[in-house]
Amino acid sequence: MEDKKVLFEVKDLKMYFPARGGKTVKAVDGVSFNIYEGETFGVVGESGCGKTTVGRTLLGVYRATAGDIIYKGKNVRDFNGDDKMSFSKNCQMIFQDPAACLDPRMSIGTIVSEGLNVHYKSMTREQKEERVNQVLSYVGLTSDYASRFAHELSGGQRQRIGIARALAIEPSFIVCDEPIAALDVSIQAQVVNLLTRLQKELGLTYMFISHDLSMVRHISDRIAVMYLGSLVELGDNKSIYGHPVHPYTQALFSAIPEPDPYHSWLKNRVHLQGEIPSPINAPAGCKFCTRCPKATDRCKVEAPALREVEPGHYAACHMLDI
Amino acid sequence: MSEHLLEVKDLAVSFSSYAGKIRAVRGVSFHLDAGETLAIVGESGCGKTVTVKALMKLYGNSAAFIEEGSSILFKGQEVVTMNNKELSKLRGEGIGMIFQDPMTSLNPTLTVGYQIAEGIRFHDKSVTKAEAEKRAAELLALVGIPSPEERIKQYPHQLSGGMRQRVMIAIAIACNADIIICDEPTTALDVTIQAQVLELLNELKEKTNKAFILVTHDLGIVFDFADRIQVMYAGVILERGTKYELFDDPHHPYTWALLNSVPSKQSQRKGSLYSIQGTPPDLMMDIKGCPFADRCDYCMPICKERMPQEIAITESHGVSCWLEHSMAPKVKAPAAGGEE
Repeated sequence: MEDKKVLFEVKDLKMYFPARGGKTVKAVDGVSFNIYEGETFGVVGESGCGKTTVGRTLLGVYRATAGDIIYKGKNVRDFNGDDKMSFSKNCQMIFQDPAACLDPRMSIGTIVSEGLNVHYKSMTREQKEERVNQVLSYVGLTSDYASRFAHELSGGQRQRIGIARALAIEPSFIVCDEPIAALDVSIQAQVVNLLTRLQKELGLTYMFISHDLSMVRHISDRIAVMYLGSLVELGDNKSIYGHPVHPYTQALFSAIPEPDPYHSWLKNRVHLQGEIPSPINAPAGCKFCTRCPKATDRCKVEAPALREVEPGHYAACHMLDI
Repeated sequence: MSEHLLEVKDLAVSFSSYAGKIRAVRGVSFHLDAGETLAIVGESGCGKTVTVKALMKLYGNSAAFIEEGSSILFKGQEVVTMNNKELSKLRGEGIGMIFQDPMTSLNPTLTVGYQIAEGIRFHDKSVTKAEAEKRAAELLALVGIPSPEERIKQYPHQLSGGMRQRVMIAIAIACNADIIICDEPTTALDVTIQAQVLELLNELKEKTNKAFILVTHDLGIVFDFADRIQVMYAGVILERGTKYELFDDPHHPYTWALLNSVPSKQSQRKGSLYSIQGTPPDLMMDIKGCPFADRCDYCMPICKERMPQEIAITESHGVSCWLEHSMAPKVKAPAAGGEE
């Protein structure tokens, strides 16, 4: 295996939110993984499994309840002011809903250049304008768009602006939080192609958060599967999709709709009963035990740890003990 | 004369707006027989929801109206000219509907039991409140909700997304409608819940011999559920056929693009996906030729001038494209899965 440089090292990350009645929502409950430079790290799971929270905590949008995030060998908790500035310059985010994340009263040019005002204070106005035009051309838009407003654009164009804004300050790592969920199929393909092209040209690292399993399979190098705040399986694309070992991953992937009239995915899928429990009172033991077709008594009391099933492929399930 | 359960001819629906008339549906014709499932596929804004809402004139106070010359025959009766009383009977008893977002289409201030019983009592005044509630509980059991007697007393916010969609399905089938319209029934749901709901719909299909219309943008769910598929774009039907015909032998460039822009199991990883450039046309405008012409890779001069007639490839398979013309160059559908 070639030499891969670790960009992010996440150790036992926990993110709890207070809820009404003195309860806590354990949105992320002890996940550990690495992100390597230049790769696309896919995070999949159903809604409410904590995938967005992981992405946001990673970028420091939320302050983690417990656990460590080590960025390029340095713990983010020990960052001083300069570190924080360079971290926020290098790590950017693309949001889910392109209509909601652009200020309707700002021109596209102002939106895209906002980051430059913070991170490139010495730039002249002309240089900023040039930079804005450059990133707009990256995402396939002409410089005329700089003077327009978000409401004048289509959904796909707005998402391009979201990408241009993230690119403007030349980051090396981008968290893509459901970047295509709000777009139509034909536009989804445009945006995914754009992200792939930019990665090749600019050497970016992505964390690609999505519930669209077929798109994640298409774009990711390594994939983490989350369920109710925990990591259930982690591995490279081929082994995760080729031979998933965790019962949840198997069920999830068998529920991917395949456009093929001859092979019914619906009839051949692994049946999952019930629905995802609330993260306020998650089941003890393995969190998946309430829906797992193979659950035993041990699963109800003891939480399984991530174990390596083959090089680079990890899963958390008691069934793998034998 | 009509032997079809539903026959739609030249249906056109427009919205009046301050800026002019928006022609959302521009003349679609199709039919539906008992026991079969028709899927209407297309991107947002292509008029698929507007089409199915027109089937029972479900426009409320919006500015939409059905254009003259349209005809919707349900069991031989003209829907377009129905008065409100006849329409109320049609809605629920003739055609039931499952809406996209169960959270906004259920009333948060009423129990789900009341909302199911409401339709039953409206259509059959002789049913007592207790009977209707009993029937509601039976329906909830039928759609796979455990302990239905307790659930009928609950409010929508106490149910999860998948359960709410099951309640919507119970409401749609409560009055034994002949046609059930499913408007993006699983778009708001997670994949595992989506599979459960689709399985329930499949079960109902097998048990009841009802006709279904499935409106969706997700090609993955279409092939498992529908018998026939029609592809809509900018208010017109570009291609129609059985699911096997459309999958094995798609003829329209837009159908190719739709099928290829979804990554499949076979598609090459990180290869570029087949994508359609540009965006759909503005429906406020008059479209002279084929509405897809501007985005089509195979566009010819004629495409921008005149809308092609539908050409029958088999009895059930039809396509509206100039490429089918004998003088047009022969093009082969691009291989699925995208190219590097």
